[in-house]
Amino acid sequence: MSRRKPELQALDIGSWPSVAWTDLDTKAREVIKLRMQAIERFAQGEPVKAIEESTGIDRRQLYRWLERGLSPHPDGRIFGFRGLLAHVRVAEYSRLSPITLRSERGSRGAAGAFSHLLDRYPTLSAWLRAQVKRRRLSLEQVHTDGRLHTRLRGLQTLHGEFLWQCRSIGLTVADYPLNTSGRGIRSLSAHLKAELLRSFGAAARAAGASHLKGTPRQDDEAGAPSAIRPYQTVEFDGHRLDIRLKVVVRDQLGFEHEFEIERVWLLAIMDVCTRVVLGYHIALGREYSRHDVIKTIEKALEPHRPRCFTIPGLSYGPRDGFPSQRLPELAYVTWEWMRLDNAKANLANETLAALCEFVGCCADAGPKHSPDERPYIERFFGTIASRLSSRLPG
Amino acid sequence: MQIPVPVALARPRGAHRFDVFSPKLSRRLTLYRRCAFDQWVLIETDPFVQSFCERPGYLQVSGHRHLADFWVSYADRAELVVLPNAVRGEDADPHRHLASDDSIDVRVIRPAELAASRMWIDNWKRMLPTIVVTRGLVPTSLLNAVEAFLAGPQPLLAVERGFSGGDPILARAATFRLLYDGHVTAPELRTDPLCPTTRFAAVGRQ
Repeated sequence: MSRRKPELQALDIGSWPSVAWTDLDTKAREVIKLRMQAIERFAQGEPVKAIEESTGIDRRQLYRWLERGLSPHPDGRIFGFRGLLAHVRVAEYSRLSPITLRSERGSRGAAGAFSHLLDRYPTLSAWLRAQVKRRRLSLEQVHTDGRLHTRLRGLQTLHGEFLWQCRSIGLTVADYPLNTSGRGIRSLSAHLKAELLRSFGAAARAAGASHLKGTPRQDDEAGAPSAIRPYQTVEFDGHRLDIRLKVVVRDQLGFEHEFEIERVWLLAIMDVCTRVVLGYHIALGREYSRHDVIKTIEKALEPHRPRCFTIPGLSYGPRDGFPSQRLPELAYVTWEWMRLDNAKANLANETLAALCEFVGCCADAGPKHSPDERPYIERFFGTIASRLSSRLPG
Repeated sequence: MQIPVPVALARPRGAHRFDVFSPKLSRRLTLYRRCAFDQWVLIETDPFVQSFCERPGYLQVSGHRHLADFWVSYADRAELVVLPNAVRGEDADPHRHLASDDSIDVRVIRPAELAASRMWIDNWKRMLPTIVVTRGLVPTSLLNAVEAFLAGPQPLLAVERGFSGGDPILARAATFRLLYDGHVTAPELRTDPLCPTTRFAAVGRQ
């Protein structure tokens, strides 16, 4: 029986965030490699005594790193191997003693005073967050060489209002921050910078970005269910092929009439687990309709019939084809979950009736303007565009 | 008892829209939260639930109006289900307040409760499409025959083999339908994923 603590018995090192140790200098690299090696050997179940003897690392140090590695990081994950780096703080300094300022020179004894102030008055903290949200500040990058250097615009005005807020909650000139020469402006600046740089979206907005898309959503809902079986989750989308096609009709007198097709839509249903296209439909028209969506569903369910190609030399290869063409038992297999976008044709009553009542699946229409919710089908269409439709002449 | 009508809720910004078919209500439901979908699976597959309704109306809780997520009716009582982070309805239609009936219970679901039922929900997500697709296609005689076959615990594979004379999908659908109606139990589905060796047994005959 293992005598290790329960949290150390099933240590999943694979999920520990790693460290870009190749960027470190030679000495630091050797140190971190040794520490990582010790942790890995511990996770493999090697006795602590053996690790101590071979690496020269004290067991108290090893347990300290394990504790640091398992402590939560502000990014929502654990520190992992990041906790092994020197001078990395895994816990914020939280001041407990009251603030008494000493002489003007040297240390004034106000370490942690600002976060203490915000902890004591949550209204101040909420007010600062609201100012950040209202874009009262902008963040400018000073230069790009080396570490990030930024400058805040609008700090002076906000500082004045912050002091007014402090007075309104009852703080006097004898209290921090009004009793310091700078009135806490440097701590305020550091706090606001950290708040702005907390997430990519906030930092980009503070730097002036107005059209942000593709950033991960910070909602509390669980992520999309992972597809671990074929036909568990499928994705559907329509893609406008960027090609010009012409239909030539010969009349009774032998004259040729040419009609140019405005749009060619490729509609496809793709299985997420196997990345196999279950069925597709070509819709010729300016927009695809609900009937085209239902036709695609029908084609994905029916056994695929091999096509006869008129172009000489074009044929199915030995490994080509659709699932229901190669494995007849996969015909009429229904799926459980379908991800689609918010096109009118997709959310039409008939389409949803076909999906929910006939196929029996759940139709999951992702948030508007979020193609990242259906990455596999979008990637497939990206490949179709770059390898096929954009290369065709005309 | 009057069955409520769902509140027409504008789709919240950035929300998914889940459309599902409920065999219990014989109509489609539109849900805007994944936890609501999970809770729907639990309600839909509870054989003691006679009827239910999504977004039945607003509740007044500590000075704020919250949208109740489900109204659930059992044989002897009814209750309201409120999920975590319920939708606030400060500017909602004041006429959509639920009747101030003191006898109705309000059940607040914690995320841990849904997490504890994760395997049960995942298994039902696989079985529900079979029930929806084959509704009206499974004859009562087949249901009775499968129930009699499951007098002792039997794996799903044995049911499909035992009724291989007909469509194996119908035998499978009959087993799931009996489980859905509460005539059959399968405790393994609460802890393990559905597979051909999952054992089903008729209630009271185990």
